[in-house]
Order: sequence, then structure tokens, then C-alpha cells
Amino acid sequence: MTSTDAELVLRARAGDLASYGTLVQRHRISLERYAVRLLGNREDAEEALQDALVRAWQALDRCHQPERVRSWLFRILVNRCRTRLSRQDRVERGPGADLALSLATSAPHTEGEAWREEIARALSRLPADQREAFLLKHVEEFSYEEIGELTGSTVPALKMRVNRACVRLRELLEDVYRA
Amino acid sequence: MALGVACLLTPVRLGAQDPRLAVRLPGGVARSVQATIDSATADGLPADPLVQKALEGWSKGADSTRIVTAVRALAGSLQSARQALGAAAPTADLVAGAAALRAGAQPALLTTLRNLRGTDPLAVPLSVLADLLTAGIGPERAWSSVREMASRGASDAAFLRLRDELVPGTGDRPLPPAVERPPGSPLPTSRDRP
Amino acid sequence: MPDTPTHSDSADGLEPVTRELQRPVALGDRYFDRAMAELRAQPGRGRRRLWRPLGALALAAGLLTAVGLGFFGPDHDAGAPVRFALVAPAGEVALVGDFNDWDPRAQPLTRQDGAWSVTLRLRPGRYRYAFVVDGDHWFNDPNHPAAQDEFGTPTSVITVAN
Repeated sequence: MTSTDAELVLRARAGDLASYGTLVQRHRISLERYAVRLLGNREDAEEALQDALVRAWQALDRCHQPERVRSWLFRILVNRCRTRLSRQDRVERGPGADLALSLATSAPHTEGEAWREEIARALSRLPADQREAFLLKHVEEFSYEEIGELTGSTVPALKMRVNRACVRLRELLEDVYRA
Repeated sequence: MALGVACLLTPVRLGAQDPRLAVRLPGGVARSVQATIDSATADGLPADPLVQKALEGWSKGADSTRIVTAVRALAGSLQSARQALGAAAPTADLVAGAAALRAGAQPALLTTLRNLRGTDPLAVPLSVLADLLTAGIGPERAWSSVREMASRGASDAAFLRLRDELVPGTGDRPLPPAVERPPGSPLPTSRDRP
Repeated sequence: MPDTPTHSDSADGLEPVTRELQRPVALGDRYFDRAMAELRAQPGRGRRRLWRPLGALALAAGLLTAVGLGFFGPDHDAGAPVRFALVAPAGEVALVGDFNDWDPRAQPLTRQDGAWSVTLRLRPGRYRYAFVVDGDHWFNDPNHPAAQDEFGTPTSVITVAN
């Protein structure tokens, strides 16, 4: 029998760590994907995710809509990622780190790998707020209202960021399309 | 059949999204697939094989149209298998029966096999039939071998030995050359650009 | 004067990009295990502290449930042991199939004497599956029949007997 997210949240709130683990596993793929795409490297993503999971457990009492726990988990993760981004600016390692390393160690030998690298490179060239909005809207498929709650931004501001992100990505990838 | 009973006892919440689809497929794809699955389960078909088919397609990089088409095709085959094998047929039998039908077996053969086997489970003989047909063993030879063994009351292990004997190379095939999974979608060429 | 967007915010023309970005990234369990370990070490939330002594078992149960054994049932101990093996030079080999939601993280294989293998318990039935090497390259199993495939990718099928 499959428990709903809300049921798992309620059990987790009562101290059932196993239910919390199950809940996280359910949403893990999108949480990981978001963190890696936003931060551009796995190490930072792992730290942000670890932080987020610990905080989420501690803050479960403040999850007021258990059936929307995915949104709630993302809000925590978005904030952890923003903290990590500001640290990236101060430290040398940045969004392109993994990419640079992979380029140095091996040339892409498949069409698929080259394509993936182009996308990662283009994404890393977006300003962080545009990257964040684009990923939440077009990859994680939240509504603008939800993204507003996750990020604290207004819907018009988010739409503008997404628009600019789309324009820029099309520009950056146009050369690849033409190749 | 214990497996069939387990399926009946599992509460199915029609209309609720399978969490595996919700987590791993993008929203639009998950919804289309779930709609197909809901329609199948409303007819009494098992959901899990359909969920697995959707997850298979997704993990292989198929687009949503292909995934939904594959899930629908499987639902159709499961439906035909259930008509041939009876409403009480457990899921494992339906899955193997659907595979046999998709490999070219006629529904009437499934019914014949069920009658020959009585209450014994059919998943292995049906699966072997599917394998023989897929491997290119002629339909008459494939069917006559399976039917003959079923008439003799052969065990599941005996069916598997039959398949290993008839399908060339099973068990000692060298590693096939690497086939790369195509990227999620191909690089658009200049002529494809809108 | 603020820019007026000349395009909508839609991702038209970027479908190959969003499609690629929607692929899972498979980070591995390290961060998850660390987070759970940290939480287990803290004073329990709520009144019930059942999870504390049962921590590891509870976590294992939670993870196994989450893998989603589907119609093979929550009784994951039932079934015959089946060994899947592949000989290949590789960094990482995963097994994906109808028994594990086609999730490359569910059953990573371990390497011994040049062969990658894992043993699962499977109930009788027919299962489609494949090996995924280094996250990207799909192989079928040389020791089992090839399956019909509508997605254009190598796939094998195994039939488990009673």
C-alpha cells in the first residue's frame, strides 16, 4: 500500500524517521536535479541537499500543507542553494567547475555528451536568478504562483527572468543548433 | 495464485497519481500516462506493468508520445491476454501472455494453454512461447513444442530448458557491441529549426 | 525604461534543452546517508523515539519501500535468488528493469574478478531489463533472450520459474 505524501509528513512529524526517509526518496530525483543544475557541480549540490534535508526535518512542524510537501521541500532547498551560490562567488569553485574538469580530462566522444556539455555551459552563463527561475518553471514545472512562494519574488518579476533566460539560452545554443 | 490475490488486496485509489510517475516523469507526461493507466485499471487491468512500461520508456529517453503509445499498446495486449486467460489470471500470467501476443501468438493458443495447464501458473510457458517467437522460431514449431510440453505436464524448469535448446546462443552469447543510448533528443539540424 | 520582452516566457524551441535538463542526475547516497545519520544523532522530534534504536532498520525499510517493488509486493524476501552479471570494463554498472522501476540507482552492481554482478530475489514471472554502463551505455544480457523493444534500446528478458 502506498502512503500519500501527507500521510508520510504526519508520521514524520511524530518522529518517524523512516517515513521521512521515504518522503525524501520520493522527491529526491527532482531535488537532486535542481541542486546540480542550479549550482553546476555535484559537490555543492550534495552539501546543499544535505543541509536542506536536515533543516526540513527540523522544520516539519511548519509544513502547513502536507499534501504540498514537494513545494515546501523545494523552498528549503532553494534557500540552501542561494546560500551556497553566494559562497561560490567568494571561492574559486563556481558553476563551471565540474564542466571545466570534465573538459580537461576527456573530450566528449558521443553526440549526447557534447550536447549535455553545451547545455551545462549555456546554463552556467545565465545569471543566477534567471537560472533559478528557468529551472523551477521549465524543468521542475512549478506554477508561477508556487515559484513565487518558493523564492519570495513576484509573478511578473519571475516571468521576466524566465523570458530572459529563454532568450539567452536560445542565443547561446543557436550555434550548436546550426553545427 | 498468491500473486493474484496480493494484487486484489492492494488498495487501488483510482485517479490518484502513482508516486513513481509523479516523481520521475515531467508533469505533463505523468498526467497523460496516468490517464491511460486509470482507464486500464477501471477495466480491471493491473497498473504496475503499465507503470513499469512508462518508467522503461522514460529511462530510455523516449518522448512522451512514444511512452503513452507504448503504455496503451501494452494495456491492449493485457486486455487481450485477460480475455484469453480469464478474469482470474494473475498479473504475472497476464504480463507473459501479453508478451506472447505481441510476439505473434494468437489469443486462442493462450486459452488452449490455460486449459492444458489447469490450475498451474502459466507465466513461464507463456514467457517461453514469447521468447521462441521473438527469436524467430517459426510459429508452428514454437507452438507445437510448448503445447506438447504442456500436455505432458512439464515443469517450469523444463520449459526453460526447451527455450535454451531452441534459441541459438542463449547462455553463451558474447557481449554485444556497445550501443549508446541516443541523447534525450537529437541535436536539431539547421533544416529542422523552426 | 525597462525592457519589454519581445518573446513570451515559454520554452518554445528549447524542448531538447528542457528534456535533457529533466534527466535525473543520480548523485548517489552519500549526502542522504549523512543527513539521515545527523538526524538520528539528534534528540528525537515528537514524543515517540522508537526510531532511535531502530534507526538503521527503519531507514533500510524506508528505502526498500521507496524503491517501489510494485506488484511484486512489499514482501521483498519472497522469490528465487537470481544473479545478474555482466563482464565489461566500466566505471559503474547498473541494472534497470521491471523489478526496480527502471531506476539505475536501485541496484548498482559490484565488481569481482572482472565481472559485475548483483543477486535479486524475484517472484516467478517475466521481467524486461538491461544493464546501463557508466550511466549512459545500454547493454543487453548475453546470457538471456533479447526482448522486443519499442524504444530502440537493447533490452533483455528473464523468465523466473517457480
